[in-house]
Amino acid sequence: MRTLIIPVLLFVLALLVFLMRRGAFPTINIMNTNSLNWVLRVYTAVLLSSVVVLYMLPKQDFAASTTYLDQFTGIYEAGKAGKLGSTNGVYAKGNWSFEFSGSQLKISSEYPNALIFVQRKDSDDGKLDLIDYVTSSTFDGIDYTDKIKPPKVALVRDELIVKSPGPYQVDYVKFDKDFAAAQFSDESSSQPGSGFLSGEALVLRIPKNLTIDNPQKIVQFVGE
Amino acid sequence: MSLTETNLLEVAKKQYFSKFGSYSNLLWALMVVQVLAVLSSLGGNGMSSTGGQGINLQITRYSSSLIVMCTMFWAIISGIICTTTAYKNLDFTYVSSRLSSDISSIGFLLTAGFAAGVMSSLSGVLLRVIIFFTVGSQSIALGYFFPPPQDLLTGILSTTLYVILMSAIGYFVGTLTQVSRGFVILLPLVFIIAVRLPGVGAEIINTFVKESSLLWFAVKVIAATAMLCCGAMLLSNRLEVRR
Repeated sequence: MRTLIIPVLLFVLALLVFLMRRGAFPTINIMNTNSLNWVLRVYTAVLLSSVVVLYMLPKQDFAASTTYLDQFTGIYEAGKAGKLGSTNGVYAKGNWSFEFSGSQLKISSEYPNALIFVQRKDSDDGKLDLIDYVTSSTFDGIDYTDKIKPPKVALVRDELIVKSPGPYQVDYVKFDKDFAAAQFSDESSSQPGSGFLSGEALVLRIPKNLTIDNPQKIVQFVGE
Repeated sequence: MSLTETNLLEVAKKQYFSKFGSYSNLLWALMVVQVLAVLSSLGGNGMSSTGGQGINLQITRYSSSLIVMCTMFWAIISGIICTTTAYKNLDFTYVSSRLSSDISSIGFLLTAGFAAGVMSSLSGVLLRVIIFFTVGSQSIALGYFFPPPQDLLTGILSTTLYVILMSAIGYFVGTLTQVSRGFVILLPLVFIIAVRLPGVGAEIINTFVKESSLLWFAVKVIAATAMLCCGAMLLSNRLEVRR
């Protein structure tokens, strides 16, 4: 539709010029002047009222737009130090808790994007606590951290399985200045395609004496 | 001021006001063009996407650039149409001269250009309101959705200036084609050559589109518009009063 509009407009306007040159148009009365005036008045009223409506719209719930990224790239270092929960620019996206009475836990992951850190508790409380952390993510100046889904996690007998959340679609709408206004603006709008992809890490807190089976060598132990 | 000058201005004034009735089809065309431009902008003017970690992120970009471009196109065509014999003949319902006809036509184009510039910027606001109610705020980036009033005003002024410049170009081109039909073929050729060849054509365009000061841009547009209108009036004087 969008690609067709310019040729269609050109054709319509060329046709108008042709009709004008033939002297046909002044005698063509699409509407009488009174009706036309009314239509123009209504159109102008709609345009003017849209300004009032726009500035009365609630500004909550819009997608965060940012030129500053609360960027944190050292997710590995923070994870190794056991400080992901208290680091700026890192957000918890999901948490799980499983009752576990076995003595050995196998961890397997089909989600290589996320680092997995294992931290031993001070006691044997029979629980596995898992938290998923992500860093800020932006694209085209939009902070989409809120829309990132945590991975799928399941405890099957003695095995903790981490899977990708699966493909999912996130759509945003962004308004730019038109070229006539942008020409006199000092601000440079964000370049299309620029952004930062999120870093992701899972922190698994396990009972004190639990043994971890780590066949994929994907687990990093905190403080060991 | 002589009696002739007074009559000229009075006649031009009468013709100017009568043009809002007789040229009303041009205003109708403006509205149709802008509505079409708003409708075609509803799909967005661009798109960017990225993916990773299971996410497929897509951003649809909107702006009122298409509306502004269509309005500029309407302006250039309106400028040409105002010089056609059919439209010029409407002026001779009054006892008038080429000069009074030109003054009133230029006055009409300036007024219509101002209205078109304002309406074009406000159409961009209408586009935002429509998108808000169809897409929902959660999927809209806050960034430039609410343009600051000073940006809205800058947009209105710059668009108005561009539209007025296009009207003046259209009026000058239209007058040239009235002087000689050969210009109908010659002018597009000159335009294509000027755009294709680096040098003068690009320099002239860049004088306007690369200007970052609104004040200087306004000065340049006013000067260019004045030159084009004076040129058109001088050429028009060479034509007979009614061919």
